[in-house]
Amino acid sequence: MPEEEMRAPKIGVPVVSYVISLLASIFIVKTYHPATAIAVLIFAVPVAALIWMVVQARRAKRFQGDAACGNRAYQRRVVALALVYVALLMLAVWLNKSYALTGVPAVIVALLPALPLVGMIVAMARLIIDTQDEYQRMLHVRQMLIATGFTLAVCSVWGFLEEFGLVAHVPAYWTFVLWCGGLGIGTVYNESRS
Amino acid sequence: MNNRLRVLRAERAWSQQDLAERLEVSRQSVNAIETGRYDPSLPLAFKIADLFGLAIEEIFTNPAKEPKQ
Repeated sequence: MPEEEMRAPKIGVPVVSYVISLLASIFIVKTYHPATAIAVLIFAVPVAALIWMVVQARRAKRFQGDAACGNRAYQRRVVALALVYVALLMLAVWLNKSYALTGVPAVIVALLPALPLVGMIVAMARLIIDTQDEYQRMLHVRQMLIATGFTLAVCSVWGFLEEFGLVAHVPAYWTFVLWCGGLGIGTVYNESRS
Repeated sequence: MNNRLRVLRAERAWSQQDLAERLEVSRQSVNAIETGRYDPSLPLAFKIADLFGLAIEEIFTNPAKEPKQ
């Protein structure tokens, strides 16, 4: 293919495939409680999508070259924070179950899993600051704006449905998960424009 | 915004990667600017103009002066 026609490898479809297949797998396993072997097969689908996503992301990084430095630092920070989040969540759940915490200790334990999530938001801000390439920075900003709009829209609609007793209450921390899903929509939009 | 970046680059036998390295941007950025999908900031436009030894308006077409379709 002539160089002029080269485009960055597409990552939107793998991202959406991963998110949808993961949510669908969780829903199926939680609803129908299949045998372990079947459940493993079901979860093999999102794992395959995740591998596809990683491969495409690596190809995209090669395409971007040195300008992807901000991305690499961001990915390192997010992976580290995700591991810390899992560890602190398990610790907080264990402490909550093992001890009848009240007052300040209960507040501190409850806040433990939230701290790495706040760290992820700071990491996203650093991504914008650290990205030297203005086109890449514009893509990040547009992706986050789409995610923010998507989250505000869903939360507004859900809030009124909940207020009128039409849907169940959802804990506020799901807003962050929703926003991350919105990033996937932002990725697809960016790719549709490229 | 239409521009002559691809022609200028071809005249010098530079690849998109070559130009990207000279401008210190990503190859993706060069591609987006060449195809008119992204309009560079004024500092980057000056950098491009300096690299080719031309004025900005000799590389980028003033949208106000483009013939209306």
